[in-house]
Amino acid sequence: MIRRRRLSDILEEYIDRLEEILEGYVYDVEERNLWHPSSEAIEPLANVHVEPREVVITVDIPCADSESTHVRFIDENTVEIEANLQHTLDFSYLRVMHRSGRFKKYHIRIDLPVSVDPSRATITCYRNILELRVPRK
Amino acid sequence: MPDGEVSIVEVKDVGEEPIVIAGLPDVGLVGLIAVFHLASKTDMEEVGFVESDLLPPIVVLYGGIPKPPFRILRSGNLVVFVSETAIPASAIPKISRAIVEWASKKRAKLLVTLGGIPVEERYKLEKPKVYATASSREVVENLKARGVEILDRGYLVGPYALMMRLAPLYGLTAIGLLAQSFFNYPDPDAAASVLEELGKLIGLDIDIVELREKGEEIRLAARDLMKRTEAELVKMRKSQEYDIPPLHV
Repeated sequence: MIRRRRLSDILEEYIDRLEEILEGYVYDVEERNLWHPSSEAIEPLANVHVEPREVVITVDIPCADSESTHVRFIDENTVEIEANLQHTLDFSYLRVMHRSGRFKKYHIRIDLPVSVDPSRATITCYRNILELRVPRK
Repeated sequence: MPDGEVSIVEVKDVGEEPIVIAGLPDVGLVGLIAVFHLASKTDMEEVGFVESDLLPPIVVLYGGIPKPPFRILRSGNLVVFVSETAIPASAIPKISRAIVEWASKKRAKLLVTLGGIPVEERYKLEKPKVYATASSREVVENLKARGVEILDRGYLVGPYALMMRLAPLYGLTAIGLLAQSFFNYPDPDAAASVLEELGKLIGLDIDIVELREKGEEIRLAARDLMKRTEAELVKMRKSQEYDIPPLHV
């Protein structure tokens, strides 16, 4: 026998699922370490906005040499961005003395929620905020 | 202190009828960066802290000495609330009310909240504009007469929203200064803009040259706190500040 579910149950389940996704996102944002001494890289803060015709990715790269920025599309849904720091940094620069490690560059790999056409990507840098615009497929 | 309560502990004299300024972690860490700069330029000293089991179990080490992350600083008649840790979204109602109650008990002349209002493509703006909101129509008109732009319509979400709402109920005059800012990148330029406006408002010459010059270093150093704050902003549905309120017909 097929039992019909009440609308309120379906909605409740839907809200629970949304909350789970939100919690997962919050945990991911909060607990990810942005400093990677083993690869001498700092993971930059980044945003992805999906617009009707394009995807706009911004990356915050303070103290970077923006001329050294290198963008590589691994596939239609994944982009890797690197930029050298103007100077090699270590934790003592931030007055943290108990940790060791030095950093030469920013590096991030971003999974895009939709497919894009990398051949038509444009890159602009505004006071070390990198803006990457890529048309959607 | 009972569970879930907020206590404001004074360790030194906070003076009479202060101007109370809040610089809490929020979008772009605008208020936090602004009050840290203000504190360093006016040689502020620690006069108290906020204590609550609603806050994470954290101390900040300075010269090996543990300090509470949510502190009260003072210079002259300026008293500043500053938090070096993201405030859990669940703690915001009680903490906001405690600050307003405390300011009311101290018969504060004015409560000023410093922060940002997120805008799209902020990176294309050379100098972020500052908008004000106030606890009463009279203060709004006064600000307008001084040439301050008013945040006419929109939503505010978070501790400042509550403080602005509660202030008149406690007999306080409150002004919110909000600079156009990034949502989740530290924004020292926006902090410089709100300090400029604060200076005009309270008649204080605040040197912001260094803040602008050291902007990139500040952006680099504030990334981790920005990331933690972002997680709380998501929980408090802060993105509603991008929403357009319905028109009243």
